[in-house]
Amino acid sequence: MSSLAWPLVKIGALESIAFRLRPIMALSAYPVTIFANYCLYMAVFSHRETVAGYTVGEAVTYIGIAWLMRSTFKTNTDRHIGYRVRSGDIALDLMRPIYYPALVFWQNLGRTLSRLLIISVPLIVFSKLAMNITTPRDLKTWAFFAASVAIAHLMVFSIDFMVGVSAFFVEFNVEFAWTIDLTVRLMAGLVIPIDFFPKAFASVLLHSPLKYIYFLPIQIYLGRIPAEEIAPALFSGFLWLMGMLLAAHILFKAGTRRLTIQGG
Amino acid sequence: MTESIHVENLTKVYRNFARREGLFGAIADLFKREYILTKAVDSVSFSIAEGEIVGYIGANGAGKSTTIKMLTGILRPTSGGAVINGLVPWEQRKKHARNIGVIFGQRTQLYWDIAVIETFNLLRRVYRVEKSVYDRRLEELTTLLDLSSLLTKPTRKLSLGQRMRCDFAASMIHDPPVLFFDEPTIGLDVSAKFRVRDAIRHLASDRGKTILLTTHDIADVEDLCERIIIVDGGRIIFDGLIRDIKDRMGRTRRATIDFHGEVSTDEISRLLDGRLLESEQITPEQVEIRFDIQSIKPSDLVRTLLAELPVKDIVLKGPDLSDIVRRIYEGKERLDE
Repeated sequence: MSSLAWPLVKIGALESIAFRLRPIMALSAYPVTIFANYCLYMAVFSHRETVAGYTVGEAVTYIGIAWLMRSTFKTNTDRHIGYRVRSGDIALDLMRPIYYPALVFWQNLGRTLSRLLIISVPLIVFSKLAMNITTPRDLKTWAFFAASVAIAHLMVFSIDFMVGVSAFFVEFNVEFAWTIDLTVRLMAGLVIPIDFFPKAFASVLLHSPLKYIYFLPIQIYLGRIPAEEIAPALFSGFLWLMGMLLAAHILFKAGTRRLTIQGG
Repeated sequence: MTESIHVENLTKVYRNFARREGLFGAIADLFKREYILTKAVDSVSFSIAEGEIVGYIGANGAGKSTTIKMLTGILRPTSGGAVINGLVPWEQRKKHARNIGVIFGQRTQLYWDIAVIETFNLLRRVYRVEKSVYDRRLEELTTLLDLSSLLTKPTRKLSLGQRMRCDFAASMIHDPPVLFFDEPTIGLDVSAKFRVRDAIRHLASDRGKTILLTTHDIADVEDLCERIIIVDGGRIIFDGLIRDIKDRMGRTRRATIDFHGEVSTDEISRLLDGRLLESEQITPEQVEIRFDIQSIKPSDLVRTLLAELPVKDIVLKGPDLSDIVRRIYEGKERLDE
């Protein structure tokens, strides 16, 4: 498998930069979103020092990092798979001597890496210059942050994969993908930090695995979580992740069992 | 000869819901659905020897593609079995995948937006082909299929014929012993078709591949195969040599007759004493008839017509496969005796 990883990553990356306009369009969309959020927070904080324990600098950094993560994570794997199932082209992937989820994973990673380079690096410069986001000082925080991002990336992948594979069952998964995406955005802490929500709702969200996607990594990044709590939090995130990957595997197996290939 | 593909009572039943008509019907369908079961493939059995090339033909919806999809291991049959090179395709899908090469004429296995060679390089890694072996094979395929100018182009820029040649090469990267070609000549122009046929012929005769070929172009089959399997409504209705089917159906002849002035089919039937199998008025001045050479000799037929009617021209045609197959599809000819 490992010998296949790099060729697949390369194909994924090549595909995502095959058209010049594609990365350029994506690159111009994210600053708009981030800027709008920035303005919103500046307005919210104009008469207050802190909101829900966040200073304006922390809130702006939170939203900047959240959208940075999203810009690399969101590779539309759900739609890719859904499209191939609906057109029947999935047949061509399934006749390869490869475990299909692995094939998708490495190609997806290729897209992520190319986005990281083309979209996220300019975005980091933009966020730093335009919004003055803060950066952690010590290496240990960076290391924990990196680990949490890896878990988050795999979680996003397994959710996208499951949504994509759901096309085996419902044939048309675009609405479904849209609904799940909006739900994840809200519950994972992309739209606003989870602790901005009313207490009761926030405490529900803090028990959901989705918090490991944006909320927890950024809490680590901002140093808002006590050092001794980081490792246990990452561990339980890891366990949730294992559960999600297993669920994805089971859903895939069930899907191929009842598979019908569309078209002649 | 050793058996390469063995299929026994292969059956696939699809469960589809019956869509009701109109907007109200469609809305009603959202809540309550009625299902209908369709047997796409119905107790199909056959075997193919190593190195044999077999045409698998049938009208649209006869169940050809479904059969191929089961034999490639993508689809799981409702019942029945198949063993290909010692493996059950859908049970040992990944292992089986290394033994087979597949072309779906209506799809492409090449990555759409990137250079063709990138797909080939990836396939080399996927099938773990050694670099030196791969280089030699790629060179061979490039010459055979004339690919040299195509390799660096993205798939979307290729014409259908060029794309099909590249797809061909892609299915051969791992040099599989068994090949499934599902309508490889669909939509191709005449010269592209010839190229594809040449390539298939080369694979079959020089390389000893076992090939199962589905197509709607009977000329493909006539050109490439000795044996055909004809399916209809999911069942096999003929499995045998093309030579045999021609012999069996070969007792009939077809004649197209042009007249000076109008002549009706009734007149001809009366004249020939009802010994025709069928007759059809093409234009007021042209009639097409089919007859059995045992009930009326062609020479007698011509003599009678010339003596009694203002004949301008007579064209007599022997049996040809596409004609026979068309008549089988249309239910005018029965093979089960």
